[in-house]
Amino acid sequence: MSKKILILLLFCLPMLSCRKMEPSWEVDVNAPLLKSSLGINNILPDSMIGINNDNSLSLVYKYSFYDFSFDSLVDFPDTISQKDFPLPGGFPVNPGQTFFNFSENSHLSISGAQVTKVDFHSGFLALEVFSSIPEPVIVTYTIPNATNLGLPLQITETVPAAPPGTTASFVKLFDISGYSMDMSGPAGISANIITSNIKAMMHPSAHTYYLDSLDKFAFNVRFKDISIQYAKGYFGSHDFAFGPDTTGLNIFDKISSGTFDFENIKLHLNVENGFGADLQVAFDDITAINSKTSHAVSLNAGIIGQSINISRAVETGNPEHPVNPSVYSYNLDNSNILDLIENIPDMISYRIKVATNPMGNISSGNDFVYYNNPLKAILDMEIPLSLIASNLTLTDTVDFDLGENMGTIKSATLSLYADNGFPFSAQVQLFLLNENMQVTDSLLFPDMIAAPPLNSNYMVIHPVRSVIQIPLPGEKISRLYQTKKMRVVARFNTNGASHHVKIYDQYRLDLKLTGDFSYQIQL
Amino acid sequence: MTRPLIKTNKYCRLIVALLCVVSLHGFSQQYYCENIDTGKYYLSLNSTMEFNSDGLTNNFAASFYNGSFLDNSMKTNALNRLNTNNNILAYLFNTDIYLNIPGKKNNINYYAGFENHNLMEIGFNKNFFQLFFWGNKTFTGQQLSLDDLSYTTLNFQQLKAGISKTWQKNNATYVLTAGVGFNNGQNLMKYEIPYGSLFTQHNAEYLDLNMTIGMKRSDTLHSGFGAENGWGFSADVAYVFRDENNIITCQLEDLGFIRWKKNSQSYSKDTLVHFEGFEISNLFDINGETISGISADSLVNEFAFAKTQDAFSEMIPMRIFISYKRYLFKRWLSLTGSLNSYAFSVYRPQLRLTGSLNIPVKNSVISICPSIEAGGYGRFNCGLGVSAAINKKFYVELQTAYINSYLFPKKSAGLGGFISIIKTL
Repeated sequence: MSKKILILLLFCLPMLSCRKMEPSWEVDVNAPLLKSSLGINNILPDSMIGINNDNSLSLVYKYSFYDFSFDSLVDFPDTISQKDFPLPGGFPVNPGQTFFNFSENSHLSISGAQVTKVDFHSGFLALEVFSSIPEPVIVTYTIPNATNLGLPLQITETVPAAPPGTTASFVKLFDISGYSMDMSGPAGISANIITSNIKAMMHPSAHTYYLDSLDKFAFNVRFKDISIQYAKGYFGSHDFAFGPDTTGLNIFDKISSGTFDFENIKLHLNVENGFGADLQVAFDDITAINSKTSHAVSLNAGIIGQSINISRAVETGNPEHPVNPSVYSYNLDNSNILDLIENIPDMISYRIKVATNPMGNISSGNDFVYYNNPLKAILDMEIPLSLIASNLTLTDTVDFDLGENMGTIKSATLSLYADNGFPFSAQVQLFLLNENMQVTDSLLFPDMIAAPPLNSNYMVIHPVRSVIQIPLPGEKISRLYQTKKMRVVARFNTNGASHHVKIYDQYRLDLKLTGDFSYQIQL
Repeated sequence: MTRPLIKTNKYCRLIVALLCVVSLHGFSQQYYCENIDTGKYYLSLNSTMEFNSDGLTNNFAASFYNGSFLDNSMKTNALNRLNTNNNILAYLFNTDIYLNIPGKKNNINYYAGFENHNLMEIGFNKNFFQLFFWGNKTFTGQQLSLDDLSYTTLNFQQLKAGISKTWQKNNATYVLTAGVGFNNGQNLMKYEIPYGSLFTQHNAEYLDLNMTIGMKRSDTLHSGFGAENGWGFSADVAYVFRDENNIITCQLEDLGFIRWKKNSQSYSKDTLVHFEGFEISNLFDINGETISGISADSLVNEFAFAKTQDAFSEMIPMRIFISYKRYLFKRWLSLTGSLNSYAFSVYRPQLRLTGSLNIPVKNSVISICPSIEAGGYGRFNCGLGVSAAINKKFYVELQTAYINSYLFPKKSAGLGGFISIIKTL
């Protein structure tokens, strides 16, 4: 029988001896890779695109370069109350007995302002208590005029027994988000007053303790990280000066060089007063700075240096939009604003003066402020996309990761089929970057994406096709696999000589990328 | 350890040539065996292992199997040998063991046994081969037909039992055999593309893939030997006529099915995919991860069919075998002509002619049997076998049908053989 098995095994041996490996061979694959159809809405968000009557497009952009918030308007102090009490000695305190009960009307020192009501958007009340009593003590702190859902603000905590000869303490952070606090005092006719009460009771589980004249009981109450949802009162008459200060402007941040020339720009400088207080604002300087070229252009307009009176906002009674701001709009058409924009700024520098309630307390203590409704200075731009671009160069860096190099693509030729319906010609170059953002190679599209022909009105007659072939020898493919980021540099020139050309809603650039790969398959 | 291709081939050829020599294309010996005393208990072991193709050569298949680099000349030689349609590549490995039980009276015998079947079949056409090994570049601007593609792997086991009745009349013997089997489905994977076409636009700006695709597969969680992923029944019937100089055999084997269980999956769909590249909605917000993501997801979505997870039934390959054997020169010589075919398989009807030189040695007969055959999984093959029948108590047979493929691996295909051992108890 064993001989039979041997014969069978010998028969099977030839198959087993031919060990299975991984065959490989080369194929030539010609296939579409990517397609994309670009309109202006792929370049700019819809919120920034306006369509004109002739279907041409405008760039609509609102840029708030200055905010004046309630924090700037009213300096709300942190400390509410700070007390240090010596205790009368010589009498016993039994468990459960209240031995300290103190009420006070704290007057907040708010410079020049008389606040009668505050609603807190967020923040904390920090209660800090010190006790030298060697038994646990229950402390209750109450602000009866601060309520949330009808319940007064009350903090009850236990101060641990103090070790002999020392002081025990605790700190409690109490979230006051949503609390509404009446600061008009017990009679309701004052301002800046917080009425509070603090009680101390011997813990029911404590022992009877004889107070000593050396015993001490102290507390400290303060606001921490508060923001105001609503405040009412008289906010005072103050003068503020801000700047010179700068703020970033990112609308042109992908433009690295070149120039563009817009046919015209509609731009308003809007000042929105969301406060329930009269304001007087003066712009002493507004300058557009291009940090790449270090070139700055100052706004030359009648509003510069002029004081503007802006009346108070109006309460709507609608909790969703509680404020109807007062808006002052200044038309900059007759200024040098075109020069400011064509400077391709990435920063705005400003100097501003603000005066509150210049005519005093004319609201009889009914000034108000709502969360997120500050004073804003806004550049409201509408730029018709009718322009001349000259070597306008856009640069962007994008993440790029093809994954692991399987070593299977031997060489390739990419073909870009571009059906260009925009009145620009474009030249594209891709720089390959490693993890350290160092350029390791570049892919130059040797030919240009041609601009389509224009009619007498400088409108595109029909898209024009350009075919750009990009050879990728093996070593370039290896570097592509090592690439972690890619810098895209695209240079644009408008077709139309020195005439402004308009960008229309229907313009598109259709791109198709195909690849002709020599590929080694390995199973 | 990787053995150099040429050395491995020589090694394979040597072993196979030594061991795989043959008399007659193997078939289960339970139906009738003239070389053993059927009046006694006997045990038979038969095993067939073969690879064949009607298009590809042994040289190409060995290079593929051994993991070589398939260069252009090798691919071109293989391509030139292909038919336009219905090329086949397949292997099978069948083993059975049977016990013959003589009856007490009326010349009735019984048998019972176990069979193991392993099968892989690939049906493809010349276009598919060219696309697979050259890519689509040469087909740009052309409609490429990809009809009749199929891939099947089937593994199953059978428990069989049957009865045979022998009649004697006028020096002639008639044997009628019938049996039934229980089939255990181990594993099935079947893909079929009866219709398919690929069009590559001349600039490769788009691809159009049009195909009817079907898939059936058993539970993939457990698919090892003996896995119970399906069950079914089959029936066998055979008729043998024999007189002094003639033997006629008619045999129908494995008329049956397997009901694959409810964890099996299947789908069938006509689909037209128009592919213009992965669409990037915002070219200014692209990164590599996005590219990888869309590469995988989009392509899967293009071919994502709703699979049905439910039981289904499939017929198993059914064998039809007819042969006529004629003894000549006082049985010193014999000639056998046979037709072998499988239904429910890509196997094509095979015709075989076998000569046999029968040398009596004492109470034994040693036979040397050259053969030629056409059809089946292959194209044309010639083989050789040897058998020894010792006193009608022991019989051993070794054969291979692929001598020409071992000698000329660059011009023909086929590998494997058949072994049969029978011993009375």
